[in-house]
Amino acid sequence: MNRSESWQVFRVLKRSRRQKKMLLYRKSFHTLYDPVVFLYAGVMAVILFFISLDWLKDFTPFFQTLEKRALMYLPFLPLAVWVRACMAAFKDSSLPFTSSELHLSLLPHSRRDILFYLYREKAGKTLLLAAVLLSSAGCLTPLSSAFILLFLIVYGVSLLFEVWIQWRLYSTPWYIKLVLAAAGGMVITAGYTAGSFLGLVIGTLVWAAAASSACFYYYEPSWGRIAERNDAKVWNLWLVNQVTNVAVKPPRRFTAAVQRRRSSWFYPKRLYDRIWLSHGKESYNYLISSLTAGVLIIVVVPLQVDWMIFLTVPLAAFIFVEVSTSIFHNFFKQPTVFRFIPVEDEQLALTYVKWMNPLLVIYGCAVMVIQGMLGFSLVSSCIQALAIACWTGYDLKGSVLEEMKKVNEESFYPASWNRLAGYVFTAAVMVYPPSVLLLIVFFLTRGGFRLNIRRKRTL
Amino acid sequence: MVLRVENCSVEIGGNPILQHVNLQAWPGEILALVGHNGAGKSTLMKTMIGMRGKLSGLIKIQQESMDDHLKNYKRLFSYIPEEPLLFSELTTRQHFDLYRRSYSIDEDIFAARVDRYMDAFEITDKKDDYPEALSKGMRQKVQTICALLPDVPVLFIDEPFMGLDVYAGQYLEEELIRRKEQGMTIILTTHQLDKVKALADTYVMLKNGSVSSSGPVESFERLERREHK
Ligand SMILES: Nc1ncnc2c1ncn2[C@@H]1O[C@H](COP(=O)(O)OP(=O)(O)OP(=O)(O)O)[C@@H](O)[C@H]1O
Ligand SMILES: [Mg+2]
Repeated sequence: MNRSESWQVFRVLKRSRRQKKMLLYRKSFHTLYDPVVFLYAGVMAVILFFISLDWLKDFTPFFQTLEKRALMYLPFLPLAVWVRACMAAFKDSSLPFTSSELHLSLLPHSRRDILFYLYREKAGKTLLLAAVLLSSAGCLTPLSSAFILLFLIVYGVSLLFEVWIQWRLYSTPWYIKLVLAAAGGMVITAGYTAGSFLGLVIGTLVWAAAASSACFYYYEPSWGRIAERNDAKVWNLWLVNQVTNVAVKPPRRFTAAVQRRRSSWFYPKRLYDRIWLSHGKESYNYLISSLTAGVLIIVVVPLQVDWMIFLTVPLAAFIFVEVSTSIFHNFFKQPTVFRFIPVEDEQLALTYVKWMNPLLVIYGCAVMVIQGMLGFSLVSSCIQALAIACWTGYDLKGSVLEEMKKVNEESFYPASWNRLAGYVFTAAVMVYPPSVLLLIVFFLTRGGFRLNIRRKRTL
Repeated sequence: MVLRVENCSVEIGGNPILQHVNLQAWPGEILALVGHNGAGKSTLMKTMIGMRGKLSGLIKIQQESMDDHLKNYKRLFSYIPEEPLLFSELTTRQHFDLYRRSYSIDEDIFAARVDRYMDAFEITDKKDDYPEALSKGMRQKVQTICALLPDVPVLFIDEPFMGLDVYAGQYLEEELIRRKEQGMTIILTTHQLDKVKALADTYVMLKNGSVSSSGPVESFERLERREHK
């Protein structure tokens, strides 16, 4: 078997992987992805591009000084890139060596060749990306092409080493990575403070020698672990599994004990984001009209009768919380595909709260505006806006979690009195800003309340 | 002698799993590795195919030593693992094609074999399915076909009949005998002693990581009878 055969096989594998991934993504997301969104995004991108082009013209002198300074710091670049590799090696093996590559290396293909192909591909991709980004920066900004070229060469060469270093370091114990990263950082700071070019170069060389000897000495990849990690990364497992109900990887075992750390899996959260974005799109009108109503209540009424602000602000907050909760509740009445996915309830609810929270900024702004119109001082209106935003966010979280329990038909103590108290305190803050202290004390004690309640329930 | 294992020892995480194992097989021989659960059969097999590193010892197929040129060595055998090991990105048909490329199998022989085996193992209608859409037994069948495609001197099979239905098991048995008559050496592990007696020419019994007895399969029957008494 010659090398080119292995290369052919490798390419076939990669092509099939791409095809299957496309297939899976199409299957999973056609319910959510809308070509119109892409169209809008494209148009927006073009507009933004022209705007930024115009805007960049104002920065010509800045770029000229930037060029000079960047030239000064260029000797730092390789070491900085490698220190980045040390940090990245904690989480990522850089070469996407999956169980399929492992399997391939059991057939008559050498593992070295496969690693080399992976390296070539990865390095090529990152280099290409860097080249495209830098050359477009060169076209858009008045940076000189000689500078761009020099930068690209230095950065490119460091990148070539970075991929290799990261791959090697991934299998070393954590303290090696840490020590190397710290040493690199120290050399950089020393070079920076001493301002000595020669010292920096020598430091970099010494560091590189230490790093490569560490890489050689400790190179003992645990292939099973690497493959498992990369499988998850390459196949984006959780998400696709859940949405399409297809287990991409048949269960298998290369090593006896492969520990999975569930907590570091961020895929479920991404799924929840998608769920709420799509639901938000459906409830868009409802949401917008209630927000507008709230803002109108906050702004218009006090303009007629100014003391009404004590009532309107908590009222608007209450409306917001109730509307948000009912939108949340509606989700569970609709027959969407996501209803059939096993989700972690609390996470799902919290993700919803996360997406609703930014809307509070609108209320905060409205409060600030009306306060400004009524001639309150800036400090007090800041305190008040912050208080109202915090309270609303807090109440929203509580109500949504309660709603979740209702949906699940769990028993719980509704916190009605607490909520009422909270609104009264918010109103008090509107009357007299220092009573924000009351609200803070209330927050603290209410946390205690909740604990008590939970303890009671478990008994 | 086509396969030779001399004085092979293996450790996993500091624990000795195999100790000074010796084993040899001749062309056209079926050798059965037998022993209790955890005796080290699969470990020995994984060591022989280079999936697991060994502490010491020599492993040779024909003239090719595993330590000299692993890639050439790997061209001399195919392997069916305990648990099917398939590529998630390939359909059944693409698996066969990958094996054809990897072992440089002749186009005509390949086409004929694929048709014959897919027919015999009844997976013709699954040829465009990905592994996760196959049942465990079907995956086992795909894996088995893959390993049977190339004309290699040695075939390693770990528990060949696990998960196969009766017909497929029967066919595999016949096919193994056919390939053996063509001069292939087959190393298999199994817990089904009737299969050992029906198929194997020689046996090697492992006990706690070392060879406790070995020889022609007739002596295995004698040994078994003696243990029964
Ligand atoms: N990855 C591993 N890590 C640690 N120990 C292992 C590993 N693989 C196997 N072992 C140990 O090696 C010994 C032999 O295992 P092996 O799988 O070779 O047994 P076996 O003879 O194939 O058993 P079975 O009949 O159940 O298939 C067992 O004691 C097992 O615990
Ligand atoms: Mg076994």
